[in-house]
Amino acid sequence: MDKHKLMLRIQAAGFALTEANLYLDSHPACREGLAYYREHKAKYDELVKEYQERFGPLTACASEGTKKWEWVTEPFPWELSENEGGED
Amino acid sequence: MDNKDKTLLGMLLSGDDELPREAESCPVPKTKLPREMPYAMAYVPFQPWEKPYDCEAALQRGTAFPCLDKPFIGEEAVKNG
Repeated sequence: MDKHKLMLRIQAAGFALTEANLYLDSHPACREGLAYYREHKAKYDELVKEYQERFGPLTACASEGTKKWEWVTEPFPWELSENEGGED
Repeated sequence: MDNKDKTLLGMLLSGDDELPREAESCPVPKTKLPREMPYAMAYVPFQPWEKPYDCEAALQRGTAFPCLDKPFIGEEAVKNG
């Protein structure tokens, strides 16, 4: 999956988490709501993990910071590589 | 028009079609609200769980829950009461 598509998938999974959050705030024991949250949390974590392994940290605090500060030594999430940004 | 009726309601009521009659008790509007609900309190029905949109569609619609998907269409979309 390319960076752009992966980012869209992360945003969609992240939005589902936000919706689950809002719903669970008023329905804290709802079995289906909790299942929906767990499902998309796992999906979100997996997508973010893949993104960061391949393209660099999504947030500054995702930097390992062992040998260098990845946040600024690897491309920012919003940066477009040479062949991106032409389509829309 | 009787010039005393300066307020909006006064003007409305004293339109030329008919003089405002002695105020009979207004018929209670037939709404879907259950009878025992007290007056002057706002109500928000408690949202039940339902199958959410697939997450790409949800992001596009701006909500994961079909029952909350109420795009503005410039007029009363959902008849109330």
